[in-house]
Amino acid sequence: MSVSNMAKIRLTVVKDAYDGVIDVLHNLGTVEIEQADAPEKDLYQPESKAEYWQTNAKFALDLLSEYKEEEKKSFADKLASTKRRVRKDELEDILNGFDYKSLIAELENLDKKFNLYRNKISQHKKEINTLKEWQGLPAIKEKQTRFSKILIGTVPAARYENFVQAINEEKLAESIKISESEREVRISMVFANQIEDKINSILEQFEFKAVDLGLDAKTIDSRIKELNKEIEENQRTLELTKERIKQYAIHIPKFQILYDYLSWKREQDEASKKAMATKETVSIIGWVPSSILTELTKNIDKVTNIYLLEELEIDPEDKIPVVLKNATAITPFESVTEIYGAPLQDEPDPTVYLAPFFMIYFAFCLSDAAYGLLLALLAYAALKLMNPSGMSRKLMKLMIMCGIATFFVGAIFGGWFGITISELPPGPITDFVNSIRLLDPVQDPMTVMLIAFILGFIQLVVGNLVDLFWKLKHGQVVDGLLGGGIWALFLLIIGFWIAVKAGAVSGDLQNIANYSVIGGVAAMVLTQGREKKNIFAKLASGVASLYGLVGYLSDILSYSRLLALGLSTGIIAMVVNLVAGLFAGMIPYVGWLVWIVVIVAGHLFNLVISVLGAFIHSGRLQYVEFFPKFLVGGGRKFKPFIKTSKYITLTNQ
Amino acid sequence: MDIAIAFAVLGAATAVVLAGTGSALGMGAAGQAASGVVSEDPDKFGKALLFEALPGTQGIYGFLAGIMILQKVGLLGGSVIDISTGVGLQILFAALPIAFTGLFSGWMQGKVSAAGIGVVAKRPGEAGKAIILSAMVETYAVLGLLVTILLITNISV
Repeated sequence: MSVSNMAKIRLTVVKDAYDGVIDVLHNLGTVEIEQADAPEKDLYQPESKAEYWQTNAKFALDLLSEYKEEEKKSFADKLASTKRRVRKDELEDILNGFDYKSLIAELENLDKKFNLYRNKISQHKKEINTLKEWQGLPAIKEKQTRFSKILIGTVPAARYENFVQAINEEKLAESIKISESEREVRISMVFANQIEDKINSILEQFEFKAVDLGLDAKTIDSRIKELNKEIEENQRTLELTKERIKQYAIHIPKFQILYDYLSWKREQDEASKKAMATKETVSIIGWVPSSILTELTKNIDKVTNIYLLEELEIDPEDKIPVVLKNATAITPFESVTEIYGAPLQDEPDPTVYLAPFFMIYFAFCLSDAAYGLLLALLAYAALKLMNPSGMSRKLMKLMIMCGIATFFVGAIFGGWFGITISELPPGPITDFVNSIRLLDPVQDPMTVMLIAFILGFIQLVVGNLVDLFWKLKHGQVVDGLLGGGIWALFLLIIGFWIAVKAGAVSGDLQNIANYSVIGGVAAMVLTQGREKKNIFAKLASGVASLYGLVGYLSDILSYSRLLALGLSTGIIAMVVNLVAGLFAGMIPYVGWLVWIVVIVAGHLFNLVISVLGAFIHSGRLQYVEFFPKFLVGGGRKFKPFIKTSKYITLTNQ
Repeated sequence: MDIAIAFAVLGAATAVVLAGTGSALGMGAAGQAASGVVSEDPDKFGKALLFEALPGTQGIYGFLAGIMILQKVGLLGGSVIDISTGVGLQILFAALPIAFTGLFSGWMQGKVSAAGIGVVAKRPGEAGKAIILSAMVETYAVLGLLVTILLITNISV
């Protein structure tokens, strides 16, 4: 239930043993490696082409999975999509017998070939399209004779008429329109060589563009036939290439293993670049939770005995990474803390303090017993099916716990899928539901709001008490007593006074309450300016500190969101039932079917948005209202050197 | 009184229309940013969708207030309740808190969400923080909804 103690270590090993040691650290995944403070030339430079081959393996995987036959997966399998489990010795066997380098080269060739033929085909298709535009053009045996010249090309449609006129004025020239589009007219023309200059200037004037169809005395039709034949041939080659690539798809699992293996190598390379090296040794500086130091030594002993593990003194300048350590029941709530960020190394871990509040707030926001049960079941199923790790795992467990809490709070509020209980037919179930219902948020919202405020009040007092105890524990007695301590006391006094005023506590205590408030105010004024030097500044700061009460007031009012979100879940559920009922009544014969669809979809939708809202707003109450009372935050999260993988999980047996 | 019912209907319509518009504006802004991120990395669809959905709650709050009003005056099945013009106006005014807080907070929350999607793109691990930043804006719609609900349930017809 706190922040773990961290040790700063320096591990020095001889170069020969280094690869084994770094692998041990990597497998252990509990050491954070720090960049050594040394000039570039003293740093270790690993020689490995892991990055290069990893990129190539990715290429192979992408290519192969593009052609792989889509295997049919059941929905549950897709949902589960767990990583394949591979034993360590299995991995070595597979990689040893896997000539991936030549395979990648082969795949590169095939890919190149495939692209080449695909481009050829699309070029030919383009050519055919152009040729079709010129359909009707006769075969031209020779473009140039001793006396005349033939030209083919286009003229902008808008200028065509004037162009024909200009050409017709020349006796020794003739133009034929082959076809036209909206933009241009395609023509072929013939003229005598002796007027070439003149023709050229006309052509230039009317923006004639010469076209080369590459026909070489063939007719358009025969050329198109020729091209189609080529396309067919290329298509066949393309299919063959495709088939050959497909044949390699059986290597996908191996490539996946290779990919993960290479990414581990890469991670090791990157970590190694942070280490310092001499001619014979490599030394790593890192952080490790003190509690696992012995485990670390034991593991390194397995691969080498020539090494030195020193514990370094922690420099005040060092930013110590933070690891949260909590009892198993509390760990799911770390996902809430982690969203905010880590506390500083010398601050309390807020997880254990926020856990009960978070759970209750979540339950208030969701406030439907059936939804709570459904959420817990769904989260449990997801946990079993998907077997997630890290943050997602914590989140699923959190949802189970919060779902169960919601079940109880929902039962007290009488929320069961938004059904109006008073309209249920009388019977044992209705009687039972009514007997456990203690409150109706719709009929009696003010009571629920009051409960929300009281919960908020308790949390704010607890926040200040945490501050007090943490500071007492760490010897900052004065700061603790006059900081969190006096605020907690002052809040309790004011709470007591309000309770007396409201008649919740016997009115006989009115005098005591009044004097307590006066005493509390006096204490605040006298102590809260303690950091100022001048006596007047001390008093002024003391008076100003009372303004902090306004902050507490707005903090407490903020808890009214518990009521609002709870009501909105219940009312939306009610609306879903209402709309489903309306549809069922409106549609003859199949009304009940529509009813089922609306009920299922509607309640699922409501569950999703309500859970989202409940999580976010319960979290916000911790971050904005609770944490500032005892926490600064902004600690550096511990980032251990650990194997991350995309496709496989490595197991030892 | 027909005119009284008309006021109540105006209240329901205002809540649904304004809060819904706020959400539409907000989701529009967030959705555009989300598409940008998804086009680069389709795997981030889930997170991007979450950010787009955040400013959607205001519209639901408005819808909720609208339904509560319709039920209050008996326009949802059953017979229409006879209310005075004063009560009709009370219901109209009761709808205003969620109508306006929904409009503006939905819109602004969309902008914060759109910016938050940048966090999804660059540091997906920190998306939770951006969600909280976006949810801060929603506070005022929640308060608006709270007052609207309290008013509607406490107006006596």
